[in-house]
Amino acid sequence: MKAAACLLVGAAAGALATPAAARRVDLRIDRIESPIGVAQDLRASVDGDAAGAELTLRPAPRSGVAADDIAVACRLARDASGWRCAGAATAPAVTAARVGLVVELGGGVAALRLSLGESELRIQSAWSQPFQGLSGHARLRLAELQDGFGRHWPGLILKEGRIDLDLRFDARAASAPQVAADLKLQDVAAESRDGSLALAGLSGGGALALRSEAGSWRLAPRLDLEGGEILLGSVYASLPSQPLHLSFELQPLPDGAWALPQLRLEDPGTLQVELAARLRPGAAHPVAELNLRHVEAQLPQAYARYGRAWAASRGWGELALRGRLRGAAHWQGEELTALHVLLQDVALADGGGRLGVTDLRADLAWEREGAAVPGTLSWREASLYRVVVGAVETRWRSGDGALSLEGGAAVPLLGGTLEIPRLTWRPGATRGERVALSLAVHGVDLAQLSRAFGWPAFRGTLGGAVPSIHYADDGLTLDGGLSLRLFDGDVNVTGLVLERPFGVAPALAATLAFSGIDLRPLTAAFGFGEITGRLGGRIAGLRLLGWRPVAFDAELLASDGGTISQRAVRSLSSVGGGGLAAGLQAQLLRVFDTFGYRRIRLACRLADDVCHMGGLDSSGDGYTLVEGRGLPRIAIVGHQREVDWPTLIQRLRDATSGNAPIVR
Amino acid sequence: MRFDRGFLAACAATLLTACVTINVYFPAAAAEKAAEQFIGTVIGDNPAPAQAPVPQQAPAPDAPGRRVPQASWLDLLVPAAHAAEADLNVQSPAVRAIQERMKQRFEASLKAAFASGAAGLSRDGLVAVRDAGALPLAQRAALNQTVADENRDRAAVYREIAIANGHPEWEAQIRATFAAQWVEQARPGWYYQDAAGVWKQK
Repeated sequence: MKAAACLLVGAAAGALATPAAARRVDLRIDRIESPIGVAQDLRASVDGDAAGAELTLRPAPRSGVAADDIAVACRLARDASGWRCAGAATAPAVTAARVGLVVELGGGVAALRLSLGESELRIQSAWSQPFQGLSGHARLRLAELQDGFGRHWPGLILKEGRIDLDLRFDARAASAPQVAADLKLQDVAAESRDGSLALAGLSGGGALALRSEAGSWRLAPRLDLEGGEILLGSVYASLPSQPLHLSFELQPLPDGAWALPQLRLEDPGTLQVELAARLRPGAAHPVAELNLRHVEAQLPQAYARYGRAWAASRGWGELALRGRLRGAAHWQGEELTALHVLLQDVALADGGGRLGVTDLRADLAWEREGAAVPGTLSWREASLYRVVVGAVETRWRSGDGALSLEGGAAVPLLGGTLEIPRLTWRPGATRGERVALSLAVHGVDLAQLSRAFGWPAFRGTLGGAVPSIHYADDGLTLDGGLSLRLFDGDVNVTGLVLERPFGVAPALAATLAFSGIDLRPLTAAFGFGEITGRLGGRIAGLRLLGWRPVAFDAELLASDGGTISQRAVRSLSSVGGGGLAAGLQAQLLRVFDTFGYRRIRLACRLADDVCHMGGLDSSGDGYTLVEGRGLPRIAIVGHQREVDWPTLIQRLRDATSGNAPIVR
Repeated sequence: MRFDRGFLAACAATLLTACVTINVYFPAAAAEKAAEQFIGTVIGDNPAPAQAPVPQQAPAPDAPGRRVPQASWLDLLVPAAHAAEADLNVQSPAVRAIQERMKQRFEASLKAAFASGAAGLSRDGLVAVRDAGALPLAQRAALNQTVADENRDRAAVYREIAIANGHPEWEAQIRATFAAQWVEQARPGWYYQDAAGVWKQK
């Protein structure tokens, strides 16, 4: 708009330089060169007498004027101070509105005023040779400019607010020609058409420069922003009232893209960002290149102000962060090509208890192509759900497009060790293959693990190896397996798949096979009464949803005989949902403390919240859970084939917490 | 002896045809009914929520007056399981918990967002921010979060229903069934995406 205005001054001056004696004068102006631009092939006509003439100015088709079709018509008049031409300009390519236009020449000064509603641009220039420059003022009401603006930036809507500019253009300056302006923003609001990118209530002041450079131009604003809101997709920030300093340079490129040679943002004491970018508005990936040269964030403040909304939209709304982050990164298109992260004294805690880490320190660098760079990462303590791991210091090396753990890591875990022999991050790889990880666990104390999860007090150790872990579609698949040494027996866990590990209703699938488990400490741990002997069996197709079982096919078998206490008989009976076998009176049961058994088998296939029960045998009206031995001989027979799972769990809970059902 | 090429091709074709004719029956009607009930409960159109029916016959364990003399005491403790009515089950506690959360979210914010057109039902059975231009920025950010939360819940529901019914591969069909039901049960004025992804107003 400013460029067009300057040209108009020049063109009008050219027409008036001709004597206006004739009733009509037609002019053809081949070329006007100004420091800002070149206009070619303009046609002008002055029609009338000296007291009042109509001036029309219209660029010929295919002229060099940027706005293809500007037409000016004004009523020319002369008074004591000089010439005045008042009328309107139309430029259908710029705006549908008629822009009010007044040109005044007199007293050695040329002045131009363009107005549209309350918005106004005034420019004046001393009339001298050589041209020395001009000054002006622009008062812009953004809502009024939306129509014209929208034609060039259809994706962006100017909603409201005002911008005031004091303009200066000095043609005598030795350096490249430059329009400079002092700038004041008040409650500026603008947004993308879908509303996903938006500014609102942005106020502040600063300066801007518009420089002509080798046939192009460069806009360089420097702003102190005081208050307002910014929304960039899922990133939302309410800006502080203390000034936030923003400066950037913007330059159109010949290929239609925009260069952002530099952008600096400083929110004092909170966040500093320096970046350069190449933008392609309207393209599928509008950011063609992004060089994040430097980021420095004081995490508690920066996260609270800029990061929280983003984290919340990813399901981490209750995250608390402390410490300091510095870093740099480079993206080519959507592809990360370099990254450097420096973390100091970072502490992270999830309100939902999913993840936590204290005293996290890291200095990690990665480049897609580049020499090997060493790095370090350490923490004092970390937690994953209720599992706490101890301090670790790791060394890393970047090279061949991968960032790899060097020399493995050994993390203290519940009295044992979590070993990470291999951890490689390859950002350039296809999804699902970016992280290569193998784990091994040694000597983890099950008592500590049980305490952490609030389970019955299991005793034993856990170990195992997971040669590789795949992550895809928010699911972790663990190859290999874990083996638990549990109550003198063995439990093998295979087919481990963890879905949505930090998301909605985390799901865990696994298959367990066990053998030789000593029943006495196991039943003691559960407060189940006492059973002696060895237990084997399997739990196939186990699926936990929200850490509660929703499906499995379980078989528990104690086939070598042993003893079973009166309390365990009652507990087991409640599990089976059956009654005591005929011939044994409930009264009699109370006389004996323990009974011998030959075999116990309990099967449950859980689906749809219903447990389909089974035992040692199956006859028409029941299934035997416990086959007795010796005298008094007992048999526990279940009668209900299908047992409601939540009820079963409640009964088990009652039975094991001492609220055992009372036998009358 | 040589087989001519036509015969081999016919054999191959037969084998291929044999492969593709193995199909798994997707209980479309049951899925539709399950989706209808689930969605009805979430958006409050269902007078009777699609939850586990309360066992009618099982008396409370500690209600002595109801005991039947012949029955074992254990029968009183563990009520017999009730049979699920639909072929497609959506009953796990985790899914019910998600459903309850979705219901609360709908009442608290999504209902208004659908009514104003700020959000709409996307064709993939999720929710999308459609036109948030009328909302102040802070509310727009809150809506973004609500939509993200809702979509995480919905994706988990579709997947878990498929898995709970023993057919993880049904996830896409269950999602499509739900997508259609969301639109079916959308109230007048709500926006939804048609098959081509174009927003339409119901």
